[in-house]
Amino acid sequence: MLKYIVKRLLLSVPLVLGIVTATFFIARLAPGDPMDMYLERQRQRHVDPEVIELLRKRYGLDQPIHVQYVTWVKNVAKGDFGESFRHRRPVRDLVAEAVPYTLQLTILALLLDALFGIALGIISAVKQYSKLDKTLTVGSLIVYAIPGFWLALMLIMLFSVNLGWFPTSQTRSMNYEDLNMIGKFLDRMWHLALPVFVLGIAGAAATARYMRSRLLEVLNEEYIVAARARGFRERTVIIKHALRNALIPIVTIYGMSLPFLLGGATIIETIFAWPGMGRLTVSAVSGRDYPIIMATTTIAAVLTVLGNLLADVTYAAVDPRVSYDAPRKR
Amino acid sequence: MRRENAEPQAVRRRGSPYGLRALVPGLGHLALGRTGRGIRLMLFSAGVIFLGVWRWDRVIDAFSTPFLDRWLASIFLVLLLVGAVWYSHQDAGRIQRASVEEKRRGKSPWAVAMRRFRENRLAVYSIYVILLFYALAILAPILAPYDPAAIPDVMANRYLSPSWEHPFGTDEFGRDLFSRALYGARVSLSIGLLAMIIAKTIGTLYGSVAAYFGGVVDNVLMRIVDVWIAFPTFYLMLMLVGVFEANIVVLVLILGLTAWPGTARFIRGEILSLKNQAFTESARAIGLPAHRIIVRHLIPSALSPVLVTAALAVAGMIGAEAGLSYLGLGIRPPTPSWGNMVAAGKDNLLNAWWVAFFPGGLLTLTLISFSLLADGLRDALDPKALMQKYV
Repeated sequence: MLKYIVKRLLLSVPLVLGIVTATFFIARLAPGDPMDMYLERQRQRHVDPEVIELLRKRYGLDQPIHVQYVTWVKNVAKGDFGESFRHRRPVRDLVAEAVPYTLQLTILALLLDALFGIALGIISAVKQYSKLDKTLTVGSLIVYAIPGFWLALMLIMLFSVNLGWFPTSQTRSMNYEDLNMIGKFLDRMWHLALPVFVLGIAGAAATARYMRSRLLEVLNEEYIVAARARGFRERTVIIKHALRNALIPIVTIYGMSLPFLLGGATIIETIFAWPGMGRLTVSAVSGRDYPIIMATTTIAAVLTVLGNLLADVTYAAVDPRVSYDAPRKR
Repeated sequence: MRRENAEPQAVRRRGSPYGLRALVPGLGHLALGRTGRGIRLMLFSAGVIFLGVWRWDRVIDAFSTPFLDRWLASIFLVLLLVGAVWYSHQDAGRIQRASVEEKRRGKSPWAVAMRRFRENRLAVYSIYVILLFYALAILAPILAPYDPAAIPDVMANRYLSPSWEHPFGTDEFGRDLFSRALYGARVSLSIGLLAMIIAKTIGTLYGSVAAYFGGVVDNVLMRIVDVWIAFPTFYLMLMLVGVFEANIVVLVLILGLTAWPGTARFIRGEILSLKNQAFTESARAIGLPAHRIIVRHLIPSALSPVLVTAALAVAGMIGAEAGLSYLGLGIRPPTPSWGNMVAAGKDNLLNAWWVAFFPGGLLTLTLISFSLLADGLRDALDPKALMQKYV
């Protein structure tokens, strides 16, 4: 197992190098250099040329491109993504501030996703072809297709603006500092409710469909027939025999949500003014703050690579039929 | 041939398919007892004719303007009518022949898939919705009650709630949202379709070249795909719109160029399994050049699953464009797109809910229709994949 993980990690190295390279050159595809684009976007076209030169020097943009590239790769390897144009602070710090917020949002969303998705998937698999199953299957397809930003706005309109049950955005109430521990926690949960629901419900819809198909696949296996023949109750057959195997691919799917977990949700975070990674990226793109764009894109891509690795490893770990250690010598 | 001659009486008894019946859509069906389809065809053509008469000035004026979209709308309207007449004639003829001949059911995979698709009512309805939306988008210059860009007396017209004059209400500048939604449909729907075509074309060619040549070519090409696919799609799109100023053309290219690697990887797998089969071997044996084998023999055999993903991809592209435009990074305001129309309504949900509701509702309907269509296509084309995950 360890050998397999190490091997996969080593194989990921050129991939990560490719990602870092691609990010750098995509950012440099822009006409002019990033500083020009940034200043133009900030409507600061009439900055003193000397000041612009100083800024270029500060961000290393005066160097030839290959030198810039090598510096970029070296710095990324050290976990240093340079300094934000707008915030004049290291990108690493900005990311470090954003990640906890994103995690609060995405962990809860994934929990909601798993809870509802798996439960609904089991229900519709067990009652295959019933009315309930058909409703759930079509319903999940429809829910999955609804664009999140529109759903979010409609929920804000209904529950925040008209009914006043939930806050429209932000992470905390005005009196947050005066609250005690429990009050702070509840206040945070109250602010999280809508964004978590929007993110979780779409995920749950996808999970439900997947869970249904996996469970149906397992229910057709011979050992299920055998278990039924031995006179186990249907409940026992499904929970003890079928579900365990059906859950294996589901577990690995959650390995692949790593980029979502840390990369956050761009549009939903922006709508709810949630200061996570997604909103950091969107505001950086709007402001042409290239160091941040490059950093978050690189991070998201590297997380995808790690997520796939994690999914494969968990798959091997939970499914005894899969073994990566035994070499194919026969 | 012989069968037709066997019972000429039956044909004659039901009357000649020419004359009035050939000209009035649906009349032939009514005479043959297919009332439902006949009435639908008649209503459809009556609608088209009504539209043409009602907006006669616009249909005609289009040809004296230099605007291609107005030409297109007028020509499309005429084509709809001609198409209805032609289809009605063909279909009535087919029904008539079928009643004489013994009923022959197609046995080809496509015919079987088609039948299975028709049984899925939701998928058939979603095709109707999609076709309707595309038709409305093309006909926008004829249909739109107001100029989508015209700003009338702002104070008197801003934020009017939905009414007969303004079915979707008006926005903060007093522009008619129904007209804007029609023009927005053109932007959103055409971007989705074009970007999908670009992505699928590049992906298919790329994947099949990699698979067919194999070896070093395959290795290099697929390593590029590995890197490209590692980027979460929306992050890559965000980065690209951050680098290039997005207008419609650039946005189509960005969406198309970010979404192809999945198709490439998929097609490569399909072609790898096809390239050593007998039909490829024989194509090679008779000396066909590689490009011909790939384009004429390998790609068609691998294409039917791509059809399913194509329907999903259009939805994905329309959704991505809407998302980017919502964030203010895609299509920029005076040009309407469903995404930026929703964004325009986001700050006034309390007083003017309709600004964000209607464009987003149309977007949602479109995306749901494409998903249901893809689902239907998947079930029809591959019954084994009935239970596959919807991605």
